[in-house]
Amino acid sequence: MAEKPKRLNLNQKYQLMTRGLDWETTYQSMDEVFPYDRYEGIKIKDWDKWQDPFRLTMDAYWKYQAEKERKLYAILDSVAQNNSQLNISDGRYMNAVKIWMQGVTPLEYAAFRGFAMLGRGFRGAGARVACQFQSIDEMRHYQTQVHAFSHYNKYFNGFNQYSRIRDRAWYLSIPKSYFEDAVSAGPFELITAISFSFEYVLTNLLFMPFVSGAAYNGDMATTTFGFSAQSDESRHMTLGLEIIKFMLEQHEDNLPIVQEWLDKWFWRGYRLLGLVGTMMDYMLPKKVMSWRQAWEIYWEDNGMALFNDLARYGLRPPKHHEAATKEKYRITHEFWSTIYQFSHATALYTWIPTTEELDWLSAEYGELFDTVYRPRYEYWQELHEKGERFFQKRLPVVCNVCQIPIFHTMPDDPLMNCCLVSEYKGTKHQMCSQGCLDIFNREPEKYCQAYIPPQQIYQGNCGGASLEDYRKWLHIKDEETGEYYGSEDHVMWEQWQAQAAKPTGVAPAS
Amino acid sequence: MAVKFIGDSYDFPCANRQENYGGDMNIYIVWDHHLIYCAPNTYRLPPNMKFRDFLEQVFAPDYFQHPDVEKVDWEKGVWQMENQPWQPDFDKTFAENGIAHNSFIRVATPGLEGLHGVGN
Repeated sequence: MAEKPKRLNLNQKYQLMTRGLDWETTYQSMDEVFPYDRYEGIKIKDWDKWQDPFRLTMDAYWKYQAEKERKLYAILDSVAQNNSQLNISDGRYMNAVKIWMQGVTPLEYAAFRGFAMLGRGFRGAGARVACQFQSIDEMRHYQTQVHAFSHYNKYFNGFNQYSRIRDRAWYLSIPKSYFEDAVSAGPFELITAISFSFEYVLTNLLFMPFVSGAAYNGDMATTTFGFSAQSDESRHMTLGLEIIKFMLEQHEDNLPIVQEWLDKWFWRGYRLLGLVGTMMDYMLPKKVMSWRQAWEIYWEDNGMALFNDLARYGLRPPKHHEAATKEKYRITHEFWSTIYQFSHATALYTWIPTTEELDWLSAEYGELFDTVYRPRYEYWQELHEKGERFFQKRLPVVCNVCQIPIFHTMPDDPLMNCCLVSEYKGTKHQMCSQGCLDIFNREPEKYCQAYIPPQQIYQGNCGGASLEDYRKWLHIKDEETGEYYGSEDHVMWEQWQAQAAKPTGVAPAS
Repeated sequence: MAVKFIGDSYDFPCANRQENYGGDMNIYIVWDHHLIYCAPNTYRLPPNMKFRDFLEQVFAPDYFQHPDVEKVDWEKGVWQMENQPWQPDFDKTFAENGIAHNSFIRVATPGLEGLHGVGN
């Protein structure tokens, strides 16, 4: 009787199909083949100590992803066939999706490129394979988001040229510069920035509000790709934790380097998430939770617990996290005020919250909101009702690191703009905070090259010197910008509501 | 701590250096406690512009939707440059006042503390 063919168990299969395919090069030195994984100063004694907790191999990967893809596209088809755009909570909600499409979807593509570099850059096969899978994941997330949102592009403004404005629009230079900062660093900093600081530490603050917010607000397309991406995200988070532990266990000299990266990327990530918090507090007609509450749960509780765990490796919590916590009562209101007054130069609509929404914000944010931001909104509402909708015509100073207009206020004085200065090579540079100033001063050679939109506009590189010229250069049409009430999206939404309210099958009264 | 790099050097010009402004310069200025205008403003202007002309003809009109702009007396302002106390001469030019490319100026106007007296 023939012997039954032996099957490999998961671990054997993983070993053979990842590290088993790797070899020590001899025609060229390993340093020539992997030229980028040492210059940052990270010391790796034994790449074989790398643990990939998922033991994922290519054949299994294709199988899982294909199954998810089939389910996702079945739902996206039904979204289109059933006119699901009619089921969202309110026309204003779509601006949250526009922010995602314009700001975050291109980050998925940038992550695909970054992880493709990492999938080639590390000399350890286990780390390379994990990064190659993530690279493919990120490309898939980019594609599925474009497909999911393409349905909304048939009806709503603001979706049609996300890739052009990603490269040109001032508010999208915030996420763009974040990622370009990471991919222009070495491979260990890149993976620390994206896999650990962003995907492990801060991702709940990004994904949770957006995907839960989509579900609360009747957006089936977004909810579906969110769930489809979820199993990939958990793998990405695990890679983030693994890389930190791996670096710290390999050599004690790695600790100060890793700590500096965590300090930097916590602050950069936090600044970027201000945009997401603003979406949670202002762009979701049905609220999930406030930014303040999310910050308390996901940073003050979970984030600090994580750093308590990591203390055994010698890590401390990132610098300036106390300042971030002080800002939890103000950052989203300052950000919304900024987008509100510059929304004539965005492919977004903005508005003053309704009375019920202002009451919710008052309950979530308390005294500071009631004394400062609520009266501000009420003043702007009065101007709007008089036909004098408030728009800022002058270009703002933008932080040379996070690239956000310097609306930020001093940690202990929410009524005073914070604008800090550092001089390098005879040129002064402005930063929004001590966190961004530290990042600049650590690598001024890098940040002095930053492409800051208002500076580039004034230098004549963006179509002209006025905001009108700039908007033309962005290819954003007047009707795609500014105030929501009275906009094309609003008019269309009201027509849909009126149609839905009409009784069907009843003869019109004569 | 300096940037780590591959190769022999890592040396690039500043993207916002003055030579990119064709003889003009970039200045930044904020009117404290008037936060309905969210951030300091930025201007491209010639160095020989009189400071008073700038304030009256360029800067103040940018705050046209703020009721305080009707009442402001810039000469009573408390001025800072690069976050340090500083006193401008209103009838001199930017250059004569020591205002250079990318200078950051702030002015507070005691008594005018914004809408509702809370810095708006």
